[in-house]
Amino acid sequence: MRIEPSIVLQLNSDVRQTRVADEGIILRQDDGEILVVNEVAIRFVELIDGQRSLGELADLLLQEYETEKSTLIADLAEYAGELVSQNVLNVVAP
Amino acid sequence: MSSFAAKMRQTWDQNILFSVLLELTYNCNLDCSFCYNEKGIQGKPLSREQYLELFQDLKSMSVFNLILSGGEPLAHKDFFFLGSKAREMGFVIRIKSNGHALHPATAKRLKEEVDPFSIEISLHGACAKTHDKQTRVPGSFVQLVKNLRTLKTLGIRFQLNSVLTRWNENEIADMYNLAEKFEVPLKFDSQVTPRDNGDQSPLEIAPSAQKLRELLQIQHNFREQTKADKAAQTATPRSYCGAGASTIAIDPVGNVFPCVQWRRKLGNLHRDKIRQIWENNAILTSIRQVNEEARKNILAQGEKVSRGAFCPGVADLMTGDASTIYPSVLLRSKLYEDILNRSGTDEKLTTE
Repeated sequence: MRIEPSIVLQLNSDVRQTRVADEGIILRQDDGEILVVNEVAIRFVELIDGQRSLGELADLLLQEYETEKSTLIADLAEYAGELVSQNVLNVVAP
Repeated sequence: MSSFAAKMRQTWDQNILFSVLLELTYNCNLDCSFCYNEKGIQGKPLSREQYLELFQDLKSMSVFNLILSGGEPLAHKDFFFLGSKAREMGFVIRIKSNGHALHPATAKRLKEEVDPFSIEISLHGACAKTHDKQTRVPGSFVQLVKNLRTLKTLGIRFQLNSVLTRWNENEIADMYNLAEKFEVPLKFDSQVTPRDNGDQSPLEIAPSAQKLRELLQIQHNFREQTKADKAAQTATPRSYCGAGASTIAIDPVGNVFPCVQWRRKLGNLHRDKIRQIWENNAILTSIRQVNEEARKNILAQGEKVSRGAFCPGVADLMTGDASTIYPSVLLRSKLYEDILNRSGTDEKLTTE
């Protein structure tokens, strides 16, 4: 699915996540699937709160990582789409 | 990107606290004859507020798994309050229960309020006579089977755990059949352990060598079929086990131990913060050294002994020295060797 910067995401209720050193672990409780993700990805997931848009999340990440905003938004949109298809995230608005 | 197995090795190697087991209470609605808990434990139970503070601290340390155990954890007066708070805070909640109280209303509430990832439920036999002899509560087997049906209906993930004893050793196949009926795993522990206070009387019902071999053969066959050991074989963590390396256990009055089996007191949460214990505790540092030494010692003894499911905590309880190889390890090693010789394979087995 196409993810626009205005879209608001939230974690599915069965998802649990944490950091282990410089990477993250995401568990989907319903089917027991585990994803290991990189540092930026777990930071992105940590920031998702069902309130802020993808664009606002990108602004927060830009304060922590040096990258071009347009590139970051494009990467986040693509990654968010993957996580939606993997039943980690769902779209709450618009 | 790392694999999950690699991340788990990293938690051991870098002492990243990943799983915390909370013995919420030693109260229980069953009365198992070989229960290892020290029922006469002295001290003030942790309060709701202390548990919530602990949860905050564990969250700040990125702990993933919170294991609610006992006694029977559901017998704790604040079980649902604490479980729901832990859920809100995003822990992966695992529960160790005897399953006796998980009748429909309670199981439904558990799913809705606590949403555990899984429940490990104790099974002591394949029939009422054996199971109830162990639990010393008539009707507990019938109740358990009813409750397992309820869990299945509600879609709550569970597995069965059993300790092989002289009493249930003739029901190994039937117990596996029961687990299969519910389409859940059954994990046998082949070691009857002393009580936490050092009382070794439970060892009187340790299984016979013949039946222990039968169990080891079944487990070996399962591994051969699934190749479940392959990933574990490539693991080379620094420590022998996760005790004090990536896990910790806390008893109902706040005493902190490297694991539920290794009862070396590291501190107490009435006095100490969990982060302080984890990061700056001389006893834990020495435990980690012993754990690393135990791994070297076991490997140095050769493949035969490494198959014997050595546990530093059991060694400590039985001999006072966490690195001493105790008799049941040697017995299991010998039996495994025999199994491998007869099957003509030289594949390595790892300990559970």
